[in-house]
Amino acid sequence: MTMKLHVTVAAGFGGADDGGNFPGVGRLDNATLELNSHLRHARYYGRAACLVAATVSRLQMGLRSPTDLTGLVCNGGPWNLCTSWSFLSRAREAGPAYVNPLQFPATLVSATATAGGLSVGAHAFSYVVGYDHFAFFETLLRAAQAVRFDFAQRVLTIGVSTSDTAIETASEKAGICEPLDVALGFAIDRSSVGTHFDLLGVTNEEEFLLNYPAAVRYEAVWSKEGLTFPLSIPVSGHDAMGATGAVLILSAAMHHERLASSARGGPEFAVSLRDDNRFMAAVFRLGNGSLFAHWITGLAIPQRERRSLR
Amino acid sequence: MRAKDLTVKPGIVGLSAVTSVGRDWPSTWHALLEGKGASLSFLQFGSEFSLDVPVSGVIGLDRSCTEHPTRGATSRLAEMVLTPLSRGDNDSARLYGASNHSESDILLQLSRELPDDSSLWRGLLVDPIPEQLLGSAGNWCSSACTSSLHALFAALMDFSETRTERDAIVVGADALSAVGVMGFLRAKASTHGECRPFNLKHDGILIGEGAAAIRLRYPCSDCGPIKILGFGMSCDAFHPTDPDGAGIWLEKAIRDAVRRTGCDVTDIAAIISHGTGTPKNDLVEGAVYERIWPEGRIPITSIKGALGHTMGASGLLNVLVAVEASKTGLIPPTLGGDGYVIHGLDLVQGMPRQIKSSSLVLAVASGFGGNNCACVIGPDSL
Repeated sequence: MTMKLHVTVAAGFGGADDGGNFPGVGRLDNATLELNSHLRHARYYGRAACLVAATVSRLQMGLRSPTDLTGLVCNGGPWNLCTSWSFLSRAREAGPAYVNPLQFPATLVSATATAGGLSVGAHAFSYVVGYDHFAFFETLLRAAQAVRFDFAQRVLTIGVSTSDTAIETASEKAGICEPLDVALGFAIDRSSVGTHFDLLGVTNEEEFLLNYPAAVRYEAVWSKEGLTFPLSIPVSGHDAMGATGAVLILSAAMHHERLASSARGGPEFAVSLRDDNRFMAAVFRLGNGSLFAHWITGLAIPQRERRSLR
Repeated sequence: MRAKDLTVKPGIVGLSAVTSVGRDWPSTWHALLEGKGASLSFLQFGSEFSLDVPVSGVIGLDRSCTEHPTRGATSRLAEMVLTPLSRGDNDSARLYGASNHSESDILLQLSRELPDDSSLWRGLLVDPIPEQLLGSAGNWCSSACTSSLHALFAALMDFSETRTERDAIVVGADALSAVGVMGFLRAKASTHGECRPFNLKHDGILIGEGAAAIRLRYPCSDCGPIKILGFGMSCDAFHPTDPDGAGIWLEKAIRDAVRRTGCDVTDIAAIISHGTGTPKNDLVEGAVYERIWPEGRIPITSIKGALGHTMGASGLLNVLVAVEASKTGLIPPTLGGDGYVIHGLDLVQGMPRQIKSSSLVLAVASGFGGNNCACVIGPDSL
């Protein structure tokens, strides 16, 4: 039998209260972000790592019960690119003996997880999984497994996507749209205190959804033309890259909460993403948490609108 | 609510490796037993930076990005270890991969020339290793030098969760990178001479490159008795690069791995250690072994004096050595030893050490960010 897990959500940026944006989407200048990250030597970690640390801090504030063993999983992406670029540029300009050793850890792909792990004291593990649009679903899968198999009592999964000078340049040269600035954190927990919804399952097998016939389904499709999703999501003209799953799930949860409150939908909902070769889905049940309420204020979420990311 | 048990133990179908001492796993294993190592100046590997630092590289590896615009040396290493284990286009094995620095070759070329070739730029944004080698259904992990063990653990958790008939291939790969060589040099963590793991004369790591892969199957009637019996993981969450001086989280990962095997620490016959040759790592790791197995009651070896530190591949290479050591009862020697071993450790030096075959062998890896992983390998019948 699948173990039910509990989910608490937090956004790295402000939501409706800060100007009507979708929670977790925004734009902070690097100095403010570095300050909010509470990381030592934050400026050397890179923007994505600071975003992860800031999101972890916000998530921690929403978690009412402490836990002994926390793990952290982030989605992957080119978040080490800018630091690596500046590291190499410095080596060319001044010589290898003059590169900054404080920048070195942030040249690794896993720097985001390291930053988040240090912030929260993630003594179970802190690592990065996935590299594409399915990555956040993968972080949920690994988080749920880690709790079920008793490697952690709580796992923070962070969906992060950002842009900086190097990513902007690379996106332009590659002809790919620039990544969205977004950071969303989900805490996957055995304890249910203060949580927003339950994670009933996460899978890469379509048959799994047959176990939840009552669930309302929010199905996203990734194709050459971009992403289609039955809800409007705040990423027009941008690509949420590895954080796409987090944006889809939060959009669906907010919409479903409204549906459920008007007695039009049951408590269960499923969010899936597919492309030509791959499928991932997560099934949730609305909980007692009401944090979405203030995010929903001021947001129009039309149904069945199809919008492309590209 | 009770946690689920990791009761599925897939069989090991095949091992594969490319290292500085061998182009495949059998030749690498024999070189390790013979005490062979490889160390050359980084200058020999054609970097634009004048860095006369000893490294352990794969001679003849194609490091260009010209023929395959979005592939560099790391992709090629991964491809080299996947080929012997793969069954071609019809292979339904699920792939799990890992690396540290991704394709730094592409970054080097781009940042020097700023060309307009869009495929190169795309290669920076969309990691070409998982995309091209693992296919769209691949699973990808990165956690610095524990990357390949986190990928292995993901595969094992999937086996236990689905319990259906399937194959999985886990691959870890990392190529020499100028960013890495400069970074370790500036962090004063790179050796200037010989890498000496667990030796009081140690001065740093020998930066290496390589790849390792393992094919697992469940169920498997003809795979042999040696399996991955238990694993543990933890994170110091202490410092971006340094280990926690007390080593309590490394100790927890090791004890958890043994506990999940259903055995006692006294049942472990040998350790394939992380053993980087840096004072910070070796003193902490050595102290942990001394606490768990007091007075040198267990033989320990490190392969990093021979192969160098192969970064994202190093954890999986330790697992391969542990599999072979459990099968054959032979523990390869640690290179760079000359008697000044950290007090309290039984470091295998000079000649391979014979242990009872079909013994339990522990493989350990740690990495930047403080991650620790430990695996117990041995016969399933225990």
